[in-house]
Amino acid sequence: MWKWLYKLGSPKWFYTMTGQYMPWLVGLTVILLGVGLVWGLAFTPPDYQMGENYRIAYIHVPSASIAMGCYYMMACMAAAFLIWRIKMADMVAKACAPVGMTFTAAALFTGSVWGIPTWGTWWIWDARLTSTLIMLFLFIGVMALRSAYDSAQSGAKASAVLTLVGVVNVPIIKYSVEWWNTLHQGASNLSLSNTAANPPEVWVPAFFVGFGLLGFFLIAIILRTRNEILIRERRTDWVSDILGDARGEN
Amino acid sequence: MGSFASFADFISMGGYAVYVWSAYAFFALVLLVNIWQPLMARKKYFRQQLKREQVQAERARAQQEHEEMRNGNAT
Amino acid sequence: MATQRKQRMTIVSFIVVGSAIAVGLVLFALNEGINVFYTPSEVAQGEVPSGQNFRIGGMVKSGSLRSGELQGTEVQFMATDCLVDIPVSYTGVLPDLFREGQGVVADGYIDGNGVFQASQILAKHDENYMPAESVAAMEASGATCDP
Repeated sequence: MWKWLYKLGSPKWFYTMTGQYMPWLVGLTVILLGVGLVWGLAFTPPDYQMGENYRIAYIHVPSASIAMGCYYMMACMAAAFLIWRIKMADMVAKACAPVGMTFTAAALFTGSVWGIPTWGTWWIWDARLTSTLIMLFLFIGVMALRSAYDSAQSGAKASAVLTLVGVVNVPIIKYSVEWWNTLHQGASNLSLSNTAANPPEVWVPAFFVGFGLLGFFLIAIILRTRNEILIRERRTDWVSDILGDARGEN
Repeated sequence: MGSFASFADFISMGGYAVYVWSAYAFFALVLLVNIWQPLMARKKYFRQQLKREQVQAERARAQQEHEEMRNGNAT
Repeated sequence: MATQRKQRMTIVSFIVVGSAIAVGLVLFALNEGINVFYTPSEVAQGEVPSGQNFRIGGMVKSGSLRSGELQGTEVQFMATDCLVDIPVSYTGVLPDLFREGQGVVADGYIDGNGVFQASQILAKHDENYMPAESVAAMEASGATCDP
């Protein structure tokens, strides 16, 4: 267990490992996303209230979940970097910010577009929407703070601290619909035993999209982290070897 | 097409075409950006590194030629 | 080395716990302000500042909707939380999801006759997504008033 963690902290090991498993991850992601999106867009029956418009839920809900999960991941990496000074953790944290930002933007945009015909408004300052907007600003802030420093080490530390300060916002997003009156609906109660309120034909495709998007998220994080590794380790022999191979290709 | 009677029905999304398709378009854009950007960054990185290596190699060659010339003059 | 790491761990926990407490206190202080609407019960209990604009949220009571079917004519209905009904009057465009038995959020004020004069109507959707045939099954099992 510890040995594995220790290995994961090695940039070279991370780079080669992710390079090996990437094709599998890409294949799985394409299948899951493809099945889920086609199913949700064309095969699931329309909702009895919202008609076809609720198909936006198939991208809105997983985008929001992934964005929140991304923030948690970024916070864990920030803590690992601050406490144990693991360089790999900082590289992953750096990769999380832009990915999380785009997913939060996707959740907000798809939610707004969904809201126009169903709610009658594209925005309301309720607790769910406001806290999600705060998360978008946190992602942007973390990126901006990192780039504001000349020293990479200082920037990494400052953005890690901001990340940890903002992590409390994520449970607020999750429970906002329970703690306060919001225009946003609550979380769906999915179960195989009580299928009356949310039948599986509606939420099974959502699971496909959800896991597909999780795979996509991992791919996006891995791609960025690998780039960061190459930049930071450019003076090492093993990166020179990779460059040598690339020279052969050109 | 599954829950739709025809392809035209599918496109019109029961009158919600603007909302559904703009949401999916934005989503697709997000996916695209998250793949395209790191791939481009990687390409750029390799280009820059190879260029730097070339410059260094050329500089080394120039240096060598210069020294050879000096040595040649000396003898 | 180990003590230094422990120290950093303490600092990190302080950052997280500290900011969580700070935010928690702010949210606690704002409490009611964060709610996007008042329920009809709260309105009846006089928790709402009188003579001011506010939002009321509840369900459109089944059988209470009176309107010309044409858009732009006056709509009247009862907003209910199953305990208290508040009459609402509104003229304007309604969202697609506005219908009897569905959640509604209205922005406006209470006039002299105790009628809520709405200037904007928003529809609130519940967290259940289902095709029409499931709804029939659900109604047979007796879905009741719960906003």
